[in-house]
Amino acid sequence: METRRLFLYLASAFGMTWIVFFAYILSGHIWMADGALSGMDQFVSLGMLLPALAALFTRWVTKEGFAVTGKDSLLLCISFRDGKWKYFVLAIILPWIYFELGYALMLLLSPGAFDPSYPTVLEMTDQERPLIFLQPLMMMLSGTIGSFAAFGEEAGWRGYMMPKMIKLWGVKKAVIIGGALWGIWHWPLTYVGHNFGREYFGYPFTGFGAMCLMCVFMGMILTYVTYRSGSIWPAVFLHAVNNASPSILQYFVNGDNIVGWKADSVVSSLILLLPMMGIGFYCLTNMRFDDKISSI
Amino acid sequence: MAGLLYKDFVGIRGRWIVFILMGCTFAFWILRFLFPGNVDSDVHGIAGVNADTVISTDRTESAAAVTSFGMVEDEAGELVELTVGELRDSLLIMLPLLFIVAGLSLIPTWTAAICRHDETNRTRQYIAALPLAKNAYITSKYLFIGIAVYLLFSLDSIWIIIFNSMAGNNNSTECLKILSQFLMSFCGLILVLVAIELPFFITFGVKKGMLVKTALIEGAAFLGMAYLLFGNLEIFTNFDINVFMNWCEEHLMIAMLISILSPIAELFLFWLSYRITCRINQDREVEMDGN
Repeated sequence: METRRLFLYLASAFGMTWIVFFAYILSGHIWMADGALSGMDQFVSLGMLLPALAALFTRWVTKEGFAVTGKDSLLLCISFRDGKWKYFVLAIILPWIYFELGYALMLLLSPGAFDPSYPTVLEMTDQERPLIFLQPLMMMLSGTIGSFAAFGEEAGWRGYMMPKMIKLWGVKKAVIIGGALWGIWHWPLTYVGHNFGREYFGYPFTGFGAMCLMCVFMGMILTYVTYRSGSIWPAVFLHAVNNASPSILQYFVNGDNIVGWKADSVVSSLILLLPMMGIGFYCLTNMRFDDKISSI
Repeated sequence: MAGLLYKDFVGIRGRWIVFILMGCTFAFWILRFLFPGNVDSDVHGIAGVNADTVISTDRTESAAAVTSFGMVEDEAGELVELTVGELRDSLLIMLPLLFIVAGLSLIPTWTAAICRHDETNRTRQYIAALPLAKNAYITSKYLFIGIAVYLLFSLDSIWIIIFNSMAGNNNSTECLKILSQFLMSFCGLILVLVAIELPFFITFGVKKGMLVKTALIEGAAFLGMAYLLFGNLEIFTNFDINVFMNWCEEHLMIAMLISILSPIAELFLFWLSYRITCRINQDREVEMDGN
């Protein structure tokens, strides 16, 4: 029954989202047109809600119920007891930490990319420059409050798919397969230039691979905070703050000054997210969360 | 707590509201698909006049042909003809704006409705007899409104996204983009309004609470009228939305800072109101009329 539910969920999540994405792509839209967002970013926010819709649809069809909390629930309950509050705080702060580390790593590999005058290139006025240092705080807050789109994805992937996969295949296998499937779900967007653009080596296949790799490691962190807190909300906040890219250093790293193989958008994205991958790996290997899973 | 929240959900006829809001959202999505704003043929194409011949997108060329339909003043004050997309955008933008205003005005009515529902069913006395935390009832009211505002904010954002996903690059779209930047602050203002009225509803009951609310609204209306009679009206005559929009575009970070910091202040006021209500009701017995 669990396998049937899982496949029904995957079919509806992929089916619904890909129909919407392909309808948009086949009507001639790409991610960036003439250096500006084409409006597809708005469309993607809607697409992000569809995994949640797919989870609700599957629950309805398979008569699984819509319990808010407890075993096989939607994992919507928020509890700060037993130190669970730490995972909420961690979820909001962690993206800032790994983005700063990622940009620091980029600067370490390409010191020439450091450009103190880069805010001027970004058309920021002198008055606005001090606000760069508040950007992470602003992104963390706006990400947390405006997290509905991330909620759409997390309610589906972490709230429904992962518990099923973990029950069927165990944690490690589930996190890898689930992450890869989550990455594949992004492929239509990767194809039109989301995340890496379209000017990289091996387009679009290297982009497809990189997306899966990123999603597998990101999925490790998201699954970890979900099971530690017993709620999808930390994962929602982490996902939303991650998408808002909180970082101070990004305003001083001029991508135009990066040369050679490191300038490739896929490579630079992977370098940027290497600290995140390290944290994900640490979550998977060094933390004991198998004991918590049975109680959810 | 989940039970208390569900009781409030039933109290406002939540299922119907969810059904209606979702239905409206779906209908708007379909409407937006049928009438996208990112098309740039001339307005005459819509009316069927010269549909085959008029394909010019140069708005200045047709500026001389002044008609009351499909014309708009540009920043220089000259009349220019709208394209089909611009016309659709300028009409359809009314729907998300209406939805945002109507949606947010629902919240204060829900505040009164959930308290009235409890009074009618004497729920508060029943809850007082249950082994729940002392402030559970008050917490559930604040939490319910907080969740409702979060959900409405999310739904408003979805409406804006639906509009923008098929919008052209024109004034209406710019206007909505700037509005969406301050949407969080608007939602926070509703929280402040609720933070003012909820302590009265919980402490004195809906009837007396409504009297206080009416007095406050009338006071504000009198102040407004007094300003219209004796105040400086030049700010209204000189008000130009384009100036504000340009400022927001030029000072993106400052606008972002305001739009993010104001909800924090508003959330703090909401929390303060909760603490004050808990403090006032700390040692109060629940009266038989539910107050």
